[in-house]
Amino acid sequence: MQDTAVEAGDMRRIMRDPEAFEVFYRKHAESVGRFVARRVTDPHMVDDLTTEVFLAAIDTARTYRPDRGSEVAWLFGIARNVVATEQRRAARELSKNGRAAGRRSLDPDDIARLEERIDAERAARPLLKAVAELPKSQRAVAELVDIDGLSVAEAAAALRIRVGTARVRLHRAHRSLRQEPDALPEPVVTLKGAS
Amino acid sequence: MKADRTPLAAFEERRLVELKEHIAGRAAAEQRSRPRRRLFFGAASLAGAGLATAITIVSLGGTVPAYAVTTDADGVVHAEVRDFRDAAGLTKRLKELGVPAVVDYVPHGQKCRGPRGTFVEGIPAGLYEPPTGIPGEKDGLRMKINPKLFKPGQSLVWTMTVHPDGVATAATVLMQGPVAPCVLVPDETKEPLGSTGDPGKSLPAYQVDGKTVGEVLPELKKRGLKVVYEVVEAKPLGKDRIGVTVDKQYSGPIGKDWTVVQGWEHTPGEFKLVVSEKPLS
Repeated sequence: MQDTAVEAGDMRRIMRDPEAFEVFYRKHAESVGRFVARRVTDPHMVDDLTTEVFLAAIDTARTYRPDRGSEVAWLFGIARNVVATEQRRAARELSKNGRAAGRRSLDPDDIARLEERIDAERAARPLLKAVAELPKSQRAVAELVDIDGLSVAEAAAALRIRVGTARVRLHRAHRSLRQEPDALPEPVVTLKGAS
Repeated sequence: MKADRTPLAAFEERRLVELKEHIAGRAAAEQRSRPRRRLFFGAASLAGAGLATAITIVSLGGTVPAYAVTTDADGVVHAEVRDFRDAAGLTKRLKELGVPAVVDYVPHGQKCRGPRGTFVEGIPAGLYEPPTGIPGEKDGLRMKINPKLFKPGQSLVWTMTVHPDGVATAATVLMQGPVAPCVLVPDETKEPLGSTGDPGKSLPAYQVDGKTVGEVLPELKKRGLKVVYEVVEAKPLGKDRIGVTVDKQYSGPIGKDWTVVQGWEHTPGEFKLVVSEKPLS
């Protein structure tokens, strides 16, 4: 996982400067897209929510704290909220059409690319499902570490909890998961080392 | 990290374009709603000015009196000014209350021909307090002047301009001896912009105000601009305005964490940064 942490002032600058933002976006677009694709199976929705994550990042650059983790941890923290908000909305079945109206157009190639990505993340879904059974606090840490590939410290930063707390919750989550029939799979996300 | 070089899918490229437009649009909107911080530094940049005050106010129309000047029990004069266009009336009222004031209204694009007199190095504490806002009002300024602290022959010289966008600016200096009447001449000084200039140039305009010195220096260096500083004490006067006191005598170091109040290329190749040690908010 990308391990950079720019200074807080720099993040505000990045989110105000289109050129600096481009570099940031190119670095993170794929991992955020995959984060969303693990949780949402509609290509349009994956695209929409990924866009929303970056929009939220632009609007909340002030919330970025370099001492609390990498850029990815920060983005995944935002992505969690965006996806959770969408899931709550979907559960209430509110204004589905409203969203479709504001949707950016995707051509068949785009949809194919998104479906590939959704497909590629399919392996994560059983684990997500198993994790979904856990108590909420454990689930959050387990998702970010086991499924999204953050370190415990990064997950703690994304969730704004102490590292020790995250570690305890993860341990409990793993213990519960081991009692599940298909035990704890290996992390699904293969982390890209510095290359 | 591999993602740096991974080509993005077409929809991701399009999303990038949209997001960049969003950022540019946001910056433009911020610029429009940004406090009208154009400060008037004409007087401050004159050689020999010991201490000058430049303020910016937003003018207003309506039925509110243009100014109200009163004296309190200690003889201190309180002036509430809402529109600087009536310079003659304001001068007269201040003089009635013992303030040796010279107030001039200078139309936009012009200035008083200098030098008009001798600047006083260092205004005695309490003689003139930098302006504050008028409580409960969006526009206007309140100033405190103690007429007893003027030495014989001294005058408080105010020069006011109302710009086409409705922003009024004022510069205040203390002078000793006769003050020449204001003879209007064209003002060729470049207007402070708060940025490195037109987006149409080879490099896009770069916003400097509100950033820290450490943040803007690399960008200015990249553009090959020489940087000169003007140190001010800045304090917000309500939401839209900033009062600035220029400290001509400051010769200490400029911290990287200082705030840029304003900056512009005041002469070709030289960028002036108006900086404040304390943040503006």
